[in-house]
Amino acid sequence: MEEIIRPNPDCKGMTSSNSRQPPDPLFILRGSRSAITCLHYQNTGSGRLFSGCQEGEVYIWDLKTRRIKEMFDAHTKSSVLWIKSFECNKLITQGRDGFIKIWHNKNSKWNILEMYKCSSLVFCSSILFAHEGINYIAIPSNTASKVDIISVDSSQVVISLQPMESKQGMCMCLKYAGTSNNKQLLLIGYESGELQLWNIFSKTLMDQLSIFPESIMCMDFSEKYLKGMCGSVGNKLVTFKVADDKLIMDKTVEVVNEGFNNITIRGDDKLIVTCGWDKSIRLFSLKSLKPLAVLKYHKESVQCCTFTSDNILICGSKDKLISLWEIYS
Amino acid sequence: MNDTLKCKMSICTKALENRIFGENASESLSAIENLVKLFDVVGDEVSSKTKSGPTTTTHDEAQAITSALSNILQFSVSSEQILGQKELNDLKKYTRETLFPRWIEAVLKNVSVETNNKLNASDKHRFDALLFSLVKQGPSLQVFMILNTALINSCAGFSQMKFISLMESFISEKLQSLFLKQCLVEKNSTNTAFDQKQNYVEWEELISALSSFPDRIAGKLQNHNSDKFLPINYIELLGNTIIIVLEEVHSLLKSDQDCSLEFISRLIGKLCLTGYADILWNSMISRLCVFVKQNYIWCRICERIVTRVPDKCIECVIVPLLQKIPWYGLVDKFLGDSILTNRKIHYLLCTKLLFHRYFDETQLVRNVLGYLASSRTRRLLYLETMKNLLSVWGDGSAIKHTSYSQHLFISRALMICIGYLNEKEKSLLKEEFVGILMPAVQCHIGSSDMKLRKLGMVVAETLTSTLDPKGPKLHFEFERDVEVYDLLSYLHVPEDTSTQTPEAIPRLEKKDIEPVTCKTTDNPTNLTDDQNTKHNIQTDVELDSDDDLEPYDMSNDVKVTKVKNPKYIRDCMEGLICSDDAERVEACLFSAEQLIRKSPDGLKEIAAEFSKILLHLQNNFSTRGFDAVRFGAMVALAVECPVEVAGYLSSQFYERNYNLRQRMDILEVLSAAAQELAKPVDKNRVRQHQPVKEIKPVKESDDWREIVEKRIEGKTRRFIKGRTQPEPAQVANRFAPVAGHFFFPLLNKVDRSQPSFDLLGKETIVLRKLIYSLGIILHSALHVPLATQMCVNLLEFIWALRYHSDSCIRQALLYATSMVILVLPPFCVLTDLQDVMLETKSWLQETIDNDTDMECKRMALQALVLLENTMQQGFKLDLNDGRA
Repeated sequence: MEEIIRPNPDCKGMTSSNSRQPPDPLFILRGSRSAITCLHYQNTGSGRLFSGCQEGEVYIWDLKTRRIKEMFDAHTKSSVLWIKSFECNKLITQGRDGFIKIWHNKNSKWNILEMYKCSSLVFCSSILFAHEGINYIAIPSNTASKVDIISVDSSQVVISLQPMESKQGMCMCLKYAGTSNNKQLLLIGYESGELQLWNIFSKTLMDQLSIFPESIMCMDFSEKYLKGMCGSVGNKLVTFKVADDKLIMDKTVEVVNEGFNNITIRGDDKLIVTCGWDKSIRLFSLKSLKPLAVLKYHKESVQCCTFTSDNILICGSKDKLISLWEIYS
Repeated sequence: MNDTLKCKMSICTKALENRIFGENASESLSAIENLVKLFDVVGDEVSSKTKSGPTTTTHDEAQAITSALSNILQFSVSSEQILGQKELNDLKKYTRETLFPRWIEAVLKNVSVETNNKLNASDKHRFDALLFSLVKQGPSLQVFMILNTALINSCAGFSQMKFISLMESFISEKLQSLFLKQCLVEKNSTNTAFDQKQNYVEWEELISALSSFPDRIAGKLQNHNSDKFLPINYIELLGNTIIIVLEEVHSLLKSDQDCSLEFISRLIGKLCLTGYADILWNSMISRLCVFVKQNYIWCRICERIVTRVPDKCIECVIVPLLQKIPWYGLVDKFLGDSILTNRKIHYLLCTKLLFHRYFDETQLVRNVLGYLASSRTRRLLYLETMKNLLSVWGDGSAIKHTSYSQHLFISRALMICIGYLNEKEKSLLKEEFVGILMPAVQCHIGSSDMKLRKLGMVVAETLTSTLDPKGPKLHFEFERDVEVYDLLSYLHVPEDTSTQTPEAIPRLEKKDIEPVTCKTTDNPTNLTDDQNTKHNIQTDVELDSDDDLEPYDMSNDVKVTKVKNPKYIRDCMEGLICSDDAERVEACLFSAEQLIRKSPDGLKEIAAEFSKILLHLQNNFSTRGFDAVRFGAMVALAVECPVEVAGYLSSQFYERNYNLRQRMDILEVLSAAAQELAKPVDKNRVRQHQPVKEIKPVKESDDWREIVEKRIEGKTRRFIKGRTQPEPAQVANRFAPVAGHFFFPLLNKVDRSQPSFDLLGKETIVLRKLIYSLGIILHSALHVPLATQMCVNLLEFIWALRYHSDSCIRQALLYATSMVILVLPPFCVLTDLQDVMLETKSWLQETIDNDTDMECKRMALQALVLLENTMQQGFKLDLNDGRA
C-alpha cells in the first residue's frame, strides 16, 4: 500500500507553538558571475568548494577564508552540469556543450587531460564510480535513453546501457546504487517518469518502476538503507526501496510547492535535502520522512546542494549566491 | 393397634416439646435421637436388629420419656409382624407429615447458647449431627418453610449462625428432591378438587418463600449475608436445580410416567416476575438450547414451562428469554405454536414488543421476526406484522413523535422482515408495499434530521430493490458508513452457529456449583496480557524515537504565488471583485483577514461594502479552505466595525435572493463576532510573557548589612504576601455598546413571511440556526445592561414557538432558554420577570414529562436545573437585602 504524507492543514497553529525558528544562513558566498548550476566539495585540507555556473565557468572557493581562490572557464558559455574531483589534482566537468572534460592541475594551472563527447541536449549529470580499482564514468549518450560507461583509464566506452523500447525519453538522472551480490547496480531516471535498475556489467535491466507521470527531475539513493527518493515537477516526493534486485515504491510525501531541482542525502544517511523551484530548501528525516525544516534565503530557485565533511549544508541558487547553513550538523 | 401407636408417639412428642433440654439435656438428646431412629425404622420399613437401648436415666421426666420411647421401640420391633403393609405406610405418612415437623420445630426452638453450654463436647457433636439429619430426612417442603421462618425470625447470634448453615446445606442438597416431588403425579391418585386446591395453596406459599428468600435474607443478615444466598448464586442454583429436575422428568416421561410441570413453570414465572429473569435464564438457556435439539420430549417440556406460566408473568418470562436465545430457529422449540392460541403471547410478540417498546440490542427482534417467519402456520402473522411495521415506519406523525432510537428499532425490524420475504410474496405484495413506501420515503426525506433521512433512504432503497430486482429502483446518494452497513446486515438471515453437543456441556452435579463470591478477584492472565502489550508499545516507541531529529517551526512553508499579496484593503477588495485570475483572487482572499485585523484608517467606510463582497463571493476556483478563510475575513470585519457590518448583515438576512448557505453564513458570522467581541482582550498584553527570573547561585556574602538583613528576614513572620502576579488590566467590554445592533434587527422580522423566504414555515434549518445564534449573541451580552431587554424579547419569541412540531427547533428553543436563564440577573427572575419565568418553568416541566425527543428532555432538564439555581440565588439576594 502506498502511503501519502500530506502537509497538515492545521499545522500552522500547532507548529507556531514550536518556537524553534529555522536558522539563517551561516554565510553567503558572493562573486559568481552567473547562476550556480552545480557544486562539489573536495575534502582536502581546509576544504575546497567547486561551483559551476551557467556561463561555463568553474569557481574554486576556499571555505576557510570564504573567498574565491581560483576561477577558470571550463565550458565556454554553456552551463556546467557536473563537477567532480578525483585522484589528486584531477577534476571532471560536464557541460551542456556536450563535452566531458578531465582536468589536471599543474603549476596552479588547469589543463585538459581528456575530453569525451556526450549528449549536449540533456540535463543529466554524469557519475563517477570505481569498480575493482578502475574508475568509470556513466554518461548520458547522444542517443536518447542510452547510458554509456566509460573507463577513465582506457578512455573507451566499455558498456552501453539502452532499454529495449525507447519510450523512456531522455535520461534525467543517474545514481550508482552500490554493489549487491556481486552486481554493480545503476539507477536511471527517465523523462517518462520511469525509474530503471540496471546491473552494469552484465548489461541487464533488473527492474523498472513508473514513479511519476512527468519526468524524474532528481534522485538520490542511500546505499546503507537501500532507499532512495525522487522528485519531479509536481509537489510530490516519492521514496523507493531496492530489495532482491527489485524496485519497490515506498512512501509519498506531499509538500506545499511544486518542482524540484535536486535531492541530496547527507553522508551519514540521516537527512534528505531537496532544492526546489520555490526558492526553498527542505529537510526531511531519511528514516521517517518527517519534514524537519524549510530554509528560505534565496530569491531564485535553488539548483544544487552538497555537504562539507563537517555537515555544513551548501546550496547554490539561480540568484548567483551560494549559501552555507549550519543545521543538524 | 396402629392408632395406639400414633397416640403414644404423639404423647412422646408432646413430652419432648415441653421438656426438651431442661435439666438433663443429654437425656433429651438421646430421646430425640431414638425418635429419629424410630422414624428410620418405621419409615424405611426395615426392622433394625441392632437397637441401642435407652440410656439409664436419673431424672424423672426424662425417664418417663425414654421409657415411653423404649416402649414404642420395643413395640415397633415386634410390630413388624403385626402391622400390615398398608398400616405401615399409613404410619410412615403420619410420622413424616405430622410428627417430624413438630420435632424439628421443637429442636430448632432450643438452639441457643444456653443449651449449647449445657451440653458437653461429645453431646455438642451429637446435637449437630442430629440437627443435620433432621433437616436431611424431614419432609423437604415443611422443613424449608420451618427453617425459613426460623431464620427470618431469628436474631443475630449463635442460633442464627446455626440456621444459616442448616439452610445452606438444605438449599444445596435438598432442593432437588423438593422440586422433583412437586412434579411427580401419583398414579391412580384420587385427587379431588379440594386436594388440588390445597396443593396450589401450598405451592403458592413455597414459591413465594423461595422467590423472596434472597431479598428477605439480605435484609435480615445485612453485611453478614452468606455468599450462597446472594441472588446471583442462589438463583443460579435454582436454575441448575430446575435443569436437573427437568432431566429427571425427561427420563421419567421417556419411561411413560406422568409428570406435572406446573410447579416448575409457576416457579419460573414468579422468579422472573421478581426480577431474577436474567440470572435464571443465563443459568439455564445454554443447556436447554442443546437439549431441545435432541428430541421432541425436550421441546414439549420447554414449551410447557415457558408458555404455561401464569398470565401476569408471561412478559417477564418471554422477553428475557427471547433476548437470550442465540438463534431464531430455537424460539419455535420454546414457544411452539402458542402464538396462535394464546392471545396474550400474540399481543406481546406482534404488537407490544415491536411497537410499544424498543431495545438497543437486536437479538430479541431477530428472534421474534424469525419465529414469525419460520413456519407456514405463522406466515400470515409475519406478513401482517411486516405491513404494520411498514405503515408505522412511514407514518408522518409517528416519525415526528417517536424518538430516533425507537424509529431505528422499527427500521431494523423492517430490514429483518425484508430478509425473510420469498419470491411469491414479493410479487404478491409489491403493489401494496410500494404504495405504502412512497409517502413514507417522502416523510423521511422531508425530515430535518440527517440520521432520519439516511434511515429512510437505506430502507427505501433496500425494499424497492428486494421487491422488484428487475424493475426501476430508487437510488439515493448518501455516505455508506458504519450505520448503513449495520442496517444492511439485518437483511441477512442468520444461520445456527452453535455446535455444542450434549456431551460437550458439563453435566450438572450437586457439587459442581461453585458460588461466586462478592470479592472481585484479579485475573492474573489478563494482567500479564496487559503487561505484554505495554511492553510491546514501549518497544514501538523506542523504535520511533530513534529518529532524534527535532523539526523546526515550519510556518514559513507557504505556497508561493506569482501574484503579490495585496498591501491595501482597497486593492484586496478590487482583486476579489473583478478578477478572473484565480491566483490573484486567492492571494486577496488569504490576505484579507490579516489586512482587516490591522484595522487601517477608513475601514469603517468600506466595511459594509467589503462584507457584501465577501458574502457574495463564490468558490469559483475550488480553493482549498475557501469557506474557513472567507468566514475568518467576515468575522474580522464584523469585529473591527461591528455597527456597520452587523447592521448590514442583519438587514440582508431577511432580504430576498439569498441562498440558504448565505443566510446561514450571516448567522454564523454574527454569532462568532459577538463571541469574539465579548472576550476581554488587552491588545498590549497579548504577547507579553512573564519574565523568567534568573537563578543566581547562592554565595556567602561578606557584606555585614546583607547578613543582618537576612537574619531579620529569617525571624520575620509574614501573614500575607502580595499578589505574585499583577492584577489583570481592566478592559472595556467591546460588545456592550454594540450588542443591540447584533440582536434586535435579527429578531425584528421573524414573523414577516415572504413568498421566497418563509422562516416559520419550511425553512426550519435556518430558523434553528437563527435561534441558536440569538442564544449565542445573548450569552455574549452577559453583564451588558441591555441584556434584560434582550432576554424579554427572546423569551417572547420562544414562547410563540414552544410547541413547534420539529424536535430540532424545540431543542434550539431550549438552548436559547438556557442562555436566557444564564444571562438574566437573578433579581430579575423574581421581580420583573417572575410571571414569565414561572410560565417557562412549567413549560420546561411539561417538556421533561411529555416530550417525545430524548434530547429535548435532557436539555429541558438542564434548563430547569439552571433556572432553579438562579431562583435560589435570587432568593438569597433578597434575604440579604432584607437583612441589610
